Amino acid sequence: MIGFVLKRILGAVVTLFVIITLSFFMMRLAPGGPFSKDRNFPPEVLENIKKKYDLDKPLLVQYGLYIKRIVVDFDLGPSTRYSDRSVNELVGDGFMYSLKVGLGALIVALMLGLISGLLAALNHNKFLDYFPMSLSMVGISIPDFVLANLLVLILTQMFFLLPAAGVDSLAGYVIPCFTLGLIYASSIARLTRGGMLEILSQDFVRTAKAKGLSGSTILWKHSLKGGLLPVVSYLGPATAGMFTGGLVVEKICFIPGLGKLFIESAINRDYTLSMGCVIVYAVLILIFNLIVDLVYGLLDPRVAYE
Amino acid sequence: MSKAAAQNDSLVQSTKSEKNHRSLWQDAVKRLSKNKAAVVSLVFMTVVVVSAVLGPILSSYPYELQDLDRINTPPVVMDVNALPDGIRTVIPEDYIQLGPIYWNTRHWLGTDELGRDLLVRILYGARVSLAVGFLAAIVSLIIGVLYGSIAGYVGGRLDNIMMRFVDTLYSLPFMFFVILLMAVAGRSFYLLFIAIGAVSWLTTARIVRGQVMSLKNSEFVEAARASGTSHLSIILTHLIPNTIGPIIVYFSLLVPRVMLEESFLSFIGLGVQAPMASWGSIVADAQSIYLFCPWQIVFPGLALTLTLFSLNFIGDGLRDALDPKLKGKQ
Repeated sequence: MIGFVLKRILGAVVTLFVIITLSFFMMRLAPGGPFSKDRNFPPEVLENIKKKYDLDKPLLVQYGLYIKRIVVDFDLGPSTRYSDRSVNELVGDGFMYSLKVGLGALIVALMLGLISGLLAALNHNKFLDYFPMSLSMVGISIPDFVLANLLVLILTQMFFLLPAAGVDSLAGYVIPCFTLGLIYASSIARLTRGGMLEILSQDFVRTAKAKGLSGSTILWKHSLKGGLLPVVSYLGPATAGMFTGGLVVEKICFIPGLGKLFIESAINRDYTLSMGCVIVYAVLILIFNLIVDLVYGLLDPRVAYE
Repeated sequence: MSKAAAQNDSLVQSTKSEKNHRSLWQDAVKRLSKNKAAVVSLVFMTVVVVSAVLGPILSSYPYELQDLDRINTPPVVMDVNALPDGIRTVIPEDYIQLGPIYWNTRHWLGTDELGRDLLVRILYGARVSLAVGFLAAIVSLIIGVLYGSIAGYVGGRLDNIMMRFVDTLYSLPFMFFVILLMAVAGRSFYLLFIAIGAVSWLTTARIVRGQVMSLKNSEFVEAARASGTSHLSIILTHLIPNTIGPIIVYFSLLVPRVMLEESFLSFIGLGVQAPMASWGSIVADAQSIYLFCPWQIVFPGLALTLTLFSLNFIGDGLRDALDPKLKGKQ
């Protein structure tokens, strides 16, 4: 068990290293730099600025310094755009907003998805099966930015229920969380239904029925654990998707989160800030994948922790 | 082996019951035509494609023409003589009365912030969105099929290394790389579909590898090898054509996914650039004023959603038709 966890953590560290390296060289090898768009500096000033951000050194040395700074000091460096703030501060601020949106969306997705998926599986080929499944087809097809805009239009303009933008109060989180939550709830509902139908047709469920166990015992004690396995393994990619989806809802709902920071910094060629955002996203996704792997092993005894 | 046997069984049964012989493909077409959702979706997609091709040609307005006297004209209004509100322009002679409402006969779906005809832009955007969707899916298909068939055919250590590489790539959050790439390397149309295609070939490679591995020891491949056919031509002319069923199914589900990614990129401003339009960028253009001009978001959003909806139904229908054993499993 401990060996398995260590191996997974090692794998995650290697993946993180690959991500950092790839994005570092991708940004640096493209023409143009963080200061090419600004007004023309005198050459001496430009020289000094470049010195501050290590941009005057050869690329490989820059890379070495960057890695060293991350690993040794946990320091993502100074932002090339916001000269008075460090990337750690900027990312830290944005991260709190994005994390709240992400967690809210995850809760909405799990609750709605699991409930409607279970309802559909237990009422196979009846109205309660067809209705949520048709809805989930809509949820899978509708892009997040269309759904977010529609929710804003309906909830704020037609029913005057919520603030259209801003996260000053908790109500501001409702639209972003529901947008992302509804989209992933659709996939979770379909996976739950598929997994439960598969389990409910197994021999051991028939045996349980034959020996007279009640429906709820069969559901809770015998089938739920196995039936939810596809959902658990989907949660890894789903979290990654919810964070990328965060880019869109943060733009629509004017949330000063990580996604907004990331897109702006990528467009501005703010090397250090966009690298910082990528690293934070990658760490989040890798941690979630690790948790999912562990939970999967706990639920499914057939998976051995090698 | 069991799959081939099952297919044979179903073929034998169907030939017995129908008397005349039908191929696997005729069977598939028949199954598909019984699927109402898929047929309706096919009709809808045909309409979309035809109007995307013909619409901008037939229309009297080019997609980038700015009708500056008519900025933000709504498609329908309740009252043509209402006082101007500073955002919308309503020119009474453009409208005809239809019961309680007035309908804009000059710009059927209204205009956008720059006075461009929304209908023409949506039709033009359909061209871009569909083209990127299909081209990127084809790019990813070519990479995935070649990669997967080589890995599956050669097998052994090479297969191990190649598939380990795919596993590693699976764990990377690709959308972030695409965003970085589009942001730093300029936003060209070609880069857009190559970038999306290059990151979505992984599943194709896995599917094709599995198929090739199950086929490569069958008699017809052995016969081809015995008669001196080269490895390359065995892969290209014998193995890949036999995996065409699953490939078509996967392709049809890949197209809507790729279109979703393109619209996402265009929406955050990293896809196609003005004055070109795709459905994602039309929605993004309206982002600042859509609370006052909801039609600018509702129509392109509806076009995109309905198209993705029907492409998904077609994909599901094709899967049920070409691989009936999978029906209802996913």
